[in-house]
Amino acid sequence: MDGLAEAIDALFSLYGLGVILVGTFLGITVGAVPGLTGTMLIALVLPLTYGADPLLSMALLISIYVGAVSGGMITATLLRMPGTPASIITTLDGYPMARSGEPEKALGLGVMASTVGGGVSWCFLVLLTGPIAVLSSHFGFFEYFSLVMMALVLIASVGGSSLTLALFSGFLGVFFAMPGINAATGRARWTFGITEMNDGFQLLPVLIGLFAVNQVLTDILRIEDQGEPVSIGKRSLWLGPRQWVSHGVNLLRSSIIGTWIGMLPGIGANIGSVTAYTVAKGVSRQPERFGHGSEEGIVASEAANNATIGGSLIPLIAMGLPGSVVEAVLLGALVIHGLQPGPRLFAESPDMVYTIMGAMLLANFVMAIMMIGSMRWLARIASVPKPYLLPVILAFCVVGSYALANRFFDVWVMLAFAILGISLERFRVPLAPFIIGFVLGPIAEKNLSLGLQASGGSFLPLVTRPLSLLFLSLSIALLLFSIFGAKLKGRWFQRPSTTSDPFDGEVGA
Amino acid sequence: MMRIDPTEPLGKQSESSRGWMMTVRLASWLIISCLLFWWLGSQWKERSGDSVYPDRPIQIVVPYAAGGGSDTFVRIIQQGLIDAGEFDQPMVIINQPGGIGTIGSREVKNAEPDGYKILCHHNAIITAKLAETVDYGPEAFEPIALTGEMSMVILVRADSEILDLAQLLSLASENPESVRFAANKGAPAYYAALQLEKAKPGAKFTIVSSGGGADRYTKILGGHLDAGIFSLSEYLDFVAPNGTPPDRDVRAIAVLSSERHESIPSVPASAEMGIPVVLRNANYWWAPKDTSAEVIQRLAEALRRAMDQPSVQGELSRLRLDPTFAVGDGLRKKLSETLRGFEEVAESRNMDLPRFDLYLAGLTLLLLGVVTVQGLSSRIKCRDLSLEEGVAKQAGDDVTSHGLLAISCFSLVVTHVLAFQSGWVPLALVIFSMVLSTGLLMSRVVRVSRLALLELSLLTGLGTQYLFTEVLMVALP
Repeated sequence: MDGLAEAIDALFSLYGLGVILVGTFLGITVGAVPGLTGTMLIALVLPLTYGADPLLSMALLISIYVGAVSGGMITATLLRMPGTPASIITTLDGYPMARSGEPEKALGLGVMASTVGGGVSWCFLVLLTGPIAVLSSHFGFFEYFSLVMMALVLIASVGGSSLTLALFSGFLGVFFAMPGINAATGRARWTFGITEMNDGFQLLPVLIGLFAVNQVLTDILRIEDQGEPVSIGKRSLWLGPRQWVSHGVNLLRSSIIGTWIGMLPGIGANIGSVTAYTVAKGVSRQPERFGHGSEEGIVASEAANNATIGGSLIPLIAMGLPGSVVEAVLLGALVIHGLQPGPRLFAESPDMVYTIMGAMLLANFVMAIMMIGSMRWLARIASVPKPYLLPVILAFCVVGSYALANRFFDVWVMLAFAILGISLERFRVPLAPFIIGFVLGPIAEKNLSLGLQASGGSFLPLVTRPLSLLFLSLSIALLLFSIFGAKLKGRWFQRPSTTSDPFDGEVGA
Repeated sequence: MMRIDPTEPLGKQSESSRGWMMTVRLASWLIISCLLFWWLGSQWKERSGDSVYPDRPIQIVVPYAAGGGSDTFVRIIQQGLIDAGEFDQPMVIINQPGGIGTIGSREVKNAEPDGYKILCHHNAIITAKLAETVDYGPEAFEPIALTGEMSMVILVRADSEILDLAQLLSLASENPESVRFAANKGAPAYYAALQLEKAKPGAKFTIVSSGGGADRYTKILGGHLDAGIFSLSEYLDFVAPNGTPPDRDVRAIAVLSSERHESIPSVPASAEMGIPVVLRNANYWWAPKDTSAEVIQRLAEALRRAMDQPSVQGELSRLRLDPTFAVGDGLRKKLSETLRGFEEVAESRNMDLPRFDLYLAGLTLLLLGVVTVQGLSSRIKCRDLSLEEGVAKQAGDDVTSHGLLAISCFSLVVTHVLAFQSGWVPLALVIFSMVLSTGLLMSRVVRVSRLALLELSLLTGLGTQYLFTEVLMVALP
């Protein structure tokens, strides 16, 4: 239990607590400001942590993650503008409730649900990560390949707007991951004679370009969108125990749904909250209240989106597979600090595993206290004029990409992908599958290539090894289901869910 | 805490919030002036200096990421140089990871041969050329010194039937390609594996490139691979405590060396078994070609003194690095021997893997086609149903509203990056001007205080300069 002691040492030091406080605060802030996302902040903060202690760096990033998923509900409730995509569903009931004179109650319910969601999923994180890591240490090359294929199909089928657009986006991501030295053969490909291309496109510049710069440019397009917030009165956000009990079942159910959705690779917090909301509406005694300020709706959405955090950390730690865009950055962060997530992480750096878990729990509590204590202030920050905010973010995008490896190549890559991102979104191509494909594609290719090297070129083990066969058949079934099922199912997931578009309100109608 | 009423419209602050604004403003100017003094000071200091080498910071390029093995090693030597009192100038470490070290090595190869940018890189600099990743090898550099070597061991799972190196090779020659051997293509370990095959006629491994040490270890424990080459320090990290069941542990069958290693005396050396394969991963220091002999001499001398520091010796033994040191002819001989050893076995034995990249490119194009057709047909359908109003309006809105503003801001960023890349303008100025100009552009649409924008740009510009040069030690152009 040395690792546990070290993690506790790191987290409960002055620095550790400071880092969690700062991280959660920054996370809530960017979460609350429409147009800024947690992904953006995490990608921009990552370069700053290169020289820092790995444990503290991860604690910082995890706190930002927790804060950002939670902060989105502030503007979702007060402005009807979800601060992050994760809170889109919260606008449905949060805003009507705030408008009808109970903004404190709406926010209070959201904070309570977020805290419980985070807590429940944390328990699953602690309980499941170890056993899954042990299980996955038995995976060979072919099993990993099939698992990754399943993940890719999963994002395409439930991720965004249409199946073909999502698939296209995912494959485009894999496509852009191709240049560079092929891990299996040790040879460079698609470099066009440019030495910098030996390393391919790095995740961070691609991510900063696709999400941060693209988002800033989109924000400039709609620079005048700055709504009038519903004002908060003097009533406390703290809810009595009676509220907790009355929402107990809903809280637990939504948290568990969120956790499971989070565990599925490739799907983020927004899908978690949609699913929990739908289920809550389905079993509710007052389904007609949903969309008009239902307490249950707020609770379901906020509990589930925070619960995806713990859920998605499980495959990341145990198998090295990122569950969402933020996880992809966290994976990159671990690799930059010389750690390889996966079955060995537990044995090699238990201190890191416990730090990630501990940071999530602490950040969850800090988030709750901070949100309740400083909500009025946060609501104010959300309406900082854009001309102050956007130029500074642009500056950080440039220096952050440069700092990654001290080369300008990355800065140009970042700018090019910003253009790509904005054009893709113009044509309603979702960006999340792109990043997941970008990260998972090379993992799949490497494992298949090495498997072929070990098997002497035979593809047979893909279907003769039971686990591999299971994963493959599941992905084929999923693909077929989403092609044919979509017609039956109606139009649930219509909107591209990567940016925080002001929400029109047709989902759930 | 300050109470601010969020309903207040911006610009009409109450008494209390005006006081608050004054405090913020005062504090920000205080910070700005501090940063400005620091920056002007550092600029001035750089201009003045005497002309004996080195009269400015020496940059050490590490072609791997911060926190990795190479980086740790260089940081130990850097501390040793400081402890030994060498050079008045700081030694700045620049991490330029990627492409198995080729990106950093190319950077130094193309640098001015003045001794201010040097490289620390191990045997992979030799194998990168053999693997045709780059078209240059050690000959494109001036070697400065060899500092420290790592022994390499061959590992199998603890319950493996392979007991020693001879048995491994005879198994590989009796049943060619039955032994799955972990060694990354193009890396030094790959050539060592080929040398092993050559030592026993007819022996042939199935060589699998399986990534970093932790990956290879997991695959050996899982029974997906039979044996592999690991560094000594990896082995000592991985080996499980006594009492672990043998299928959860690894066993070293040989050290690839001429003699046994003191930290694992029970593991035989390859030479003892009559197999003359020696692989020791050495850390070399390189300067660009045509660097003057005096500078090389000066650097080599400094590295020798750093290596003699007790603190460095202690750290190196903790990392299981043998504190070997070589310069001049000894170094050249060592390099040419290693190169010859690798060249003898270098062959392109590429199992024909399917061209996944081409399949993928085809598939992506196909999907692009499908998506385009779908998009076109849905647009036509929309028009038929005269439903396009909503969609078209939404799409059209963005372009006309502030499209020009967004394009101008983007072009401003591009211009500033170009200025930054040219190296003529300091970072602080670039960022200051970028934030100010884009901010002013935006403020034509959304009115904000110009003074606040000026403060913000000064703060961001000087702040990033401070962060980069003092905290992150990033090398600016």
